[in-house]
Amino acid sequence: MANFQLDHKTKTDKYSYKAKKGLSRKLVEEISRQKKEPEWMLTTRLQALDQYLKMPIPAWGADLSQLNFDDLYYYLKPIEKPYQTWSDVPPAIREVFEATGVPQAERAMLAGVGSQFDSEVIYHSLQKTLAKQGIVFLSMDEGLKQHEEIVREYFGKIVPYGDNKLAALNSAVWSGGSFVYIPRGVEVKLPLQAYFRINSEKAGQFERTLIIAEEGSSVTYVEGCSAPAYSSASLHAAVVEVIVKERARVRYTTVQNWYKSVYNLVTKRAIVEKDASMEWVDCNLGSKVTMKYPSCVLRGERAHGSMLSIAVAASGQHQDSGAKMIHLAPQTTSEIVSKSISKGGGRSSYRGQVLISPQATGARSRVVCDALILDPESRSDTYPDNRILSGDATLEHEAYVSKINEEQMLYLRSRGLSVSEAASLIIRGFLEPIIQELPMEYAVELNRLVKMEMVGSVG
Amino acid sequence: MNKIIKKYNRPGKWEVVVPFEKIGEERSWVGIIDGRQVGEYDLRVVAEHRVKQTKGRITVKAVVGKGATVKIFGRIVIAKEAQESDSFLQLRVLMLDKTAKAIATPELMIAANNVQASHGASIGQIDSVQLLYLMSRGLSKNKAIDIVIDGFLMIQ
Repeated sequence: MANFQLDHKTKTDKYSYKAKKGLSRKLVEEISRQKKEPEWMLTTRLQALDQYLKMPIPAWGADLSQLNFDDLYYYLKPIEKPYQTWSDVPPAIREVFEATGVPQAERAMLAGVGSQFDSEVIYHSLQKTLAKQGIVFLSMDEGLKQHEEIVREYFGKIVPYGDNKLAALNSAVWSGGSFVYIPRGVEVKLPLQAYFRINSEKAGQFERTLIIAEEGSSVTYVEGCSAPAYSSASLHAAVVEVIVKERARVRYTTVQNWYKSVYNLVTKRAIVEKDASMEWVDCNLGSKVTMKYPSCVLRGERAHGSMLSIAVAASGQHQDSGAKMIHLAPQTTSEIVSKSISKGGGRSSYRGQVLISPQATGARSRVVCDALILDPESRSDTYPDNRILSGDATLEHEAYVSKINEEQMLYLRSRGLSVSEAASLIIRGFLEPIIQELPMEYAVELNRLVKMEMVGSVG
Repeated sequence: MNKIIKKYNRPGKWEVVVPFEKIGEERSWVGIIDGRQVGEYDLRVVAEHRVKQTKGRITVKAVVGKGATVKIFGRIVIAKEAQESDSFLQLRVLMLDKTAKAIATPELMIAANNVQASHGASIGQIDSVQLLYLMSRGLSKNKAIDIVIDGFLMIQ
């Protein structure tokens, strides 16, 4: 399991290529040239760059005024090629990973582990049996090389570069991320895992992930994030696109523990076809500012979308997260369950939308937001937007903000628990419905992180 | 508890602020939108808890008929100074026709920790069991629908 004392202190200066600070047309061309990309990808990148320069920074949500886009490194390349086995990885890089527990995860017989070290995926493996079934799990760069036709068909179709400024930025300078392709009818029993890290000061990380689940297939994808301790702000602006075809099922789990100087501005969206199901599980613990609203576009009849999320906002943090469910077809269903904890002056906001279009007859949606505020300095907001444009759709929404329940506290204390033990138990109970949906090692990690975050915060 | 009931039965736009400025103040505000006429009904209600130990209950009930759109924006604001406050906002909408549209935006902005604040919103259709019961007692379908709506909107 990860050793978090080491985790945020290990850094490396060994890069085989480090671009100058700031963004330029030349840099975008250089990235594409280094990656030996096809012409159409370079064209897409340059169009996205023009779009990025035209679009304003979002004026709503969290405060982004402290983020200086010119003071970032947009491309860092630690080593030349992805490694196939763990022993090939250089010791300096390996040390960072050993501190975060990736090899242990590998030993635990996980289906495949892909790790992103700044901009390039340096370590990639997939069990041979899975590869035989036709499952593809590669870095996005390799995916583009080996499966150009598939990438060309879907890249930027779910999240176009004009979607928002950060998506445009990602489309211009993207590097790394995962490419996952699950053939028709194939069920991947074990979760596919990727571990992302930002390791250089003032680095921007712009990974791009594309997941395609063909008809009747199913897969669980897990990403975990952590970044070492640096004082100046780093930016993480990922784009994740998921296509869930008929009767397929995709679950995308994120455990985000970026260091508390990182701006985490991510666009995630899934297109869900007939009888298919998309589940987001999203845990936000780290970062200075997170703005992330994973969406499901429920395009086929009876498609289902769900979101389970946890946000913990401590001192200096603003977690502005939520979900979007867009119902476009009849009998589609969605569910959002969001839990947040604010403490030490932190601020957590739930911001979500449920849109039921006139075509989505008989659609149903349920939204539940619960928030705990642990001290008088902290703040919690709920901003849901429910647009029901079909007269025979149903929506239920409830939200609740409170402090730790006094009766529960009193009961536990009467049984001999200290104030902080009792509080920690209540908080774990509050988060339990979501933590139990995580893979075991992430559940243990999250429980530990929450416990660490809670030390000294109550009582 | 001091209770105010407002009725809106024509398309229009309304803004209401329910302030809590005295310690220990308790207020209940009920908005009733009868949206059976074609048009847009737009209601904004804000409960502002500015001092401690206040208690608020905001309820908005609406029926939305053919070709009508009902927009309800409700917000609970609890200021840092308004500790020990308790506030609840409830939005309930009945859709009477396939072409009915409803936008419900209940917000919470909470800057104090020792409080209870919650909201609920539901959008749905007339309960078919209730209709069936009334019709089995000899009422026509339209009459039965009217009775259910009157009951829901608390019109006597």
